[in-house]
Amino acid sequence: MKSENPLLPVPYRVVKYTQETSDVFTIELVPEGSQQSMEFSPGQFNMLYQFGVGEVAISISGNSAKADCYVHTIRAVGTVTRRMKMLTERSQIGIRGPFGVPWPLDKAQGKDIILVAGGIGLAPLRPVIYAYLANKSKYGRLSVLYGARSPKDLVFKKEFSKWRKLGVELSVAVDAAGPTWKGHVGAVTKLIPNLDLDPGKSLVMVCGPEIMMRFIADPLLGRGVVEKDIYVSMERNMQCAVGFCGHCQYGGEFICKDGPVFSFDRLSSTFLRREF
Amino acid sequence: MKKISELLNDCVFFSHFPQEYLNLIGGCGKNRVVKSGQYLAQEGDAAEAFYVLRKGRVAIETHMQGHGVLLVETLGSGELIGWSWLVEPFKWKFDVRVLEQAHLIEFDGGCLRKKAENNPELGYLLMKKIALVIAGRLSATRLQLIDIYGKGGH
Ligand SMILES: Cc1cc2nc3c(=O)[nH]c(=O)nc-3n(C[C@H](O)[C@H](O)[C@H](O)COP(=O)(O)OP(=O)(O)OC[C@H]3O[C@@H](n4cnc5c(N)ncnc54)[C@H](O)[C@@H]3O)c2cc1C
Ligand code: FES
Repeated sequence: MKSENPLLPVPYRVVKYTQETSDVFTIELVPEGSQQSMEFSPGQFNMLYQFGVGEVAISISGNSAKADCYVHTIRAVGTVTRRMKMLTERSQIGIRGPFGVPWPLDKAQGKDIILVAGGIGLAPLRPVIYAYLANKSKYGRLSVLYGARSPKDLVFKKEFSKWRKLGVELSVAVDAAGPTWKGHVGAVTKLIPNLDLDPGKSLVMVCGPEIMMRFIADPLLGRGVVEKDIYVSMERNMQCAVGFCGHCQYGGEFICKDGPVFSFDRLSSTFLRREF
Repeated sequence: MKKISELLNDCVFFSHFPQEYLNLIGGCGKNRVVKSGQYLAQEGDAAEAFYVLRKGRVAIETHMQGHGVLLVETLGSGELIGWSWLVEPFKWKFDVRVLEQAHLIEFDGGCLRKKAENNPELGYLLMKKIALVIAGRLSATRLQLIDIYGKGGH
C-alpha cells in the first residue's frame, strides 16, 4: 500500500550498500514495519529524505519486475547526498514516491532501443535494460552508448559482460584513459556516427548532464532520427515533487509531474535557452 | 580485388561524392595494412598522407613532459585519420598509433591537394567534408575538456 499523503515520507531501511566508484554508491531499501508497495516504472524517481539534513530527488536504478526493494544509485555532490554516502546497512531514511513520467517502453515495442547515458545518467536507464532483457521478443535490438569521465568512474561495471552476453550492444567512451584502457576515448557523441541505426525504426532515450543531451541531439538528428523519437530525462531541484510548489518549473512544464522524461520535440525550443 | 574508387563507395566519409570525383580521389589512394603497436604518424613529422580507416582501431596520442603518453582520442572503422596534410606547415600534430590491426586506405596528400587546386569544385566538396570532421572533433574535444561528468554534472 502506498502512503495516502504524497508529502509524508515513509521510513525505509538500507539493506545493502555498494560502493560503485569513489563518489557513487548504490543502496537497496526496504520499508520499516508495514507492507508498502514498491512498484515503479523505469524512469521514475523517489524523494529520499535524510532526516535532519534534507530531501533529494533520486531515480530508481533497480529492476521494476523485482518489487521487493527500492534500488537507488547516488552521486555524492552536495549537502544531502554527501551525508547519504555515510549511510550503512541498517541506516534509516525516508521515502516519498515513486513520482514522474516513465521512459516510453510501450512506444518502444517492435523498435530498436538506443540508450545514451552520461556519467550517473546510466542509473535511471538501467531499469530499461532490465525490462528489455526480460521481454526481448517485444523489442528489436538494444544499443547502449555510455560516456564517462574515466574508466574508474564507470558505474555498474560488473554487469557489463553479462549484458553483452545477453545481446546488449554496449559501447563505452571515456574522456580520458591510460594505456591499459581497451575501449573508446573521446566524447560520447563520437559513438553516434558508427552506430548501426535504422532511424524510422528506433527510439532513443538519453540521460546525462544537460550539456551532453544538447550535444547528442545534433548527431542523432543528423542520422535521420526525428525529435519525437528522442526522449530525455531532465533534472531540476525538487521540493514537493507533486506539482504544488513550482520549484521544478521549466518553461511551461513542471519536471516533477510532466517529466522528468520528455520527448525532445517538447523541449527543443527551450533546451538551448539559458534562462530556462 | 576491388579498385580504390570502388572501396570509397563503402566509406561513409565519401558518401555524396559523385563517382567521377571518387575516381579522381581513388587515383591518389592505396590499400595498406598496419599491425597493432606500429605508428602511422609521429608528432612533428611531415604530414604527407592521410587515411580512411576501413577496419581496426587507432589511438591519437601526445607526449607530455612528466606525464608520459596521453591518449587523446581513439578512432574506429570509417573514420578519417589526419588533416595536417591540408593545413600548412603540413606537419603531424599528434602521434597516431595502431591499437588493433588497421586496414586503411592511404592517400597521398600532395597528389590530392594538386587535384583539388585544379578542380575547385572537387576541392570545395573535400574541404566541406573535412571541415565537418574537424568541427565535430573540435566540439567533442570541448566536451572532454569542460569535464561534463565532473563536479556539478549529473
Ligand atoms: C528527477 C531527478 C532524478 C535524479 N536522479 C538522480 C540519481 O539517480 N542519482 C543522483 O545521484 N542524482 C540524481 N538526481 C540529482 C540529485 O537530485 C541532485 O544531485 C541533488 O539535488 C543533490 O543534492 P545535494 O543536497 O546532495 O546537493 P546540493 O547541496 O543541493 O548541491 C547540488 C549541486 O550544487 C553544487 N553546490 C552545492 N553547494 C554549493 C555552493 N555552496 N555553491 C555552489 N554550488 C554548490 C553541488 O556541487 C552540486 O552540484 C536527480 C534529480 C532529479 C530532478
Ligand atoms: S517540485 Fe514542486 S512543483 Fe515540481
